[in-house]
Amino acid sequence: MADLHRSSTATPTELHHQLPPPFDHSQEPFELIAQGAESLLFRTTFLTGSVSDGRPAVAAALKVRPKKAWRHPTLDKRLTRARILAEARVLVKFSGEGIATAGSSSGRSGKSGRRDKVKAPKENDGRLRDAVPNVLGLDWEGGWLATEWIEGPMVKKAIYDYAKMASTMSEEGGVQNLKGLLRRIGAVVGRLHAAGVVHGDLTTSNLMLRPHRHHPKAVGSRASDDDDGSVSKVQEAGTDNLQGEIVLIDFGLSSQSISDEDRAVDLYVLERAFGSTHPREEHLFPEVIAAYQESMNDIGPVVKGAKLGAGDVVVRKLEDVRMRGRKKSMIG
Amino acid sequence: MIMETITLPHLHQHSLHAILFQNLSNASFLRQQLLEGNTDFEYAFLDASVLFSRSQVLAACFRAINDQLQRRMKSKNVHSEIVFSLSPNNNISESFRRFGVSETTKDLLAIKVGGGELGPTQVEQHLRQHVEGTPVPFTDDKLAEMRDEARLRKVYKLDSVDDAEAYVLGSMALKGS
Repeated sequence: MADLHRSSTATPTELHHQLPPPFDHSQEPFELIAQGAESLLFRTTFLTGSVSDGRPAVAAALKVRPKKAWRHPTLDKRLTRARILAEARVLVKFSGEGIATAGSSSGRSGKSGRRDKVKAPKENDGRLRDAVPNVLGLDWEGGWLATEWIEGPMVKKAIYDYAKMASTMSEEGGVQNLKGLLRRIGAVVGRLHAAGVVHGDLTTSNLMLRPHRHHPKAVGSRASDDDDGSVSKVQEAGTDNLQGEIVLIDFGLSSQSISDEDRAVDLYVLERAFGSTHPREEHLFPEVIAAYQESMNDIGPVVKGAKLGAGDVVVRKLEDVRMRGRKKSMIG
Repeated sequence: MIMETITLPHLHQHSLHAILFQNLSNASFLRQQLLEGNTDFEYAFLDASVLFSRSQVLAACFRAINDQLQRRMKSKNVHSEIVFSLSPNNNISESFRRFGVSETTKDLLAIKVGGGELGPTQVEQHLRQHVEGTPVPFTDDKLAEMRDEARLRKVYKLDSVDDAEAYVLGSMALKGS
């Protein structure tokens, strides 16, 4: 079990028994990136760049939810289907933000959709579009979901690297960069909540730091510009590797919710995860909260009484959640 | 060779043969062959005016072949299933009208799923013999020249076609869920 945690390139045959078709007969490389209780994450290719094709390989993330032998087959199928689809619908909904004709989003949002329309949906500016991975394909019966591969380190690693470097850097500049990163995290989580979704598992491992791209959706013809760009980025990275765009990944536990309670719990989970993963930086976490509050106040739904912004309400709720923990008491 | 043979990752036994034709002049003949079920014309004939990109086409092919392998195709064969896979909804005849060859098709992408008894050379010869149009490279740039933005916006329910590829691929992948 333990050896599966490390990232490893395995020949397809070693993994065949775990992969659903058609991947069980694939000739492509699969690199096991992570294994959780529910799913396996591989880095492989999808749509373009087969090993037997001349075209350059395009990396993709393949999330597989293997069958659980101990679960009743009907229940197992239903759970797998529901989880694959829940994740994919959220990602596709965001990929259409500011592009899809209103009301046509595949992730039918039901009540929350109507509620949001009370205020002009300012959050529909499309900025969440680049903050989540794109869906490339899926099979809810086979139990797999293929998404675009997000380049760049996990925020967790970026902060670890920063901590290692911090002693050699001029103290003040380094801290400012870290604060900037934390503020970008808060802003994107606020944006997510304002769009009616809670992530469900916010940790610094589920946040990626993608290097800035000159042309976000550059096509092949402009590849040379991009190459130049990435070279200079790599050189810059030595002085400031906390630059980049925050991308949220792993929406396997996400849900459509506009409840302040759910939003506060989402933040609380991040706060606790951050505190235990980055104890030396924990004192800076209020930067996340402050940026979240601003972003939600700015773009979130209008609150009834209107004295407080949507962000203020969630942050107030967060204080309750801190007092009692993640689970709401069912007593009394 | 003007025809491109594409190997989809993970589906190396089901290579794709593709030719993009510009200025098609015998659309009704081709349509007629499909309607009559002429078995010499086992192709996916796609109307290039509703195509975004290679990735969109390859995603449709991947889904169609995967659904064929899993024995859950909604249409007659893998080629009609490719046409259907491009659609964001479950209406099969509508998907043929929108994405398949019609009387008004100007530019045409012909795709054949390989692995059968015919080799690439025979497929190319047959296509070039029966499709009256100018073969051009199957590239994103060519597709961009051929597309009809108003139609694309309509069939995929978009306000804008800029940067919409990810949403289009996602809608195709979620279809039928």
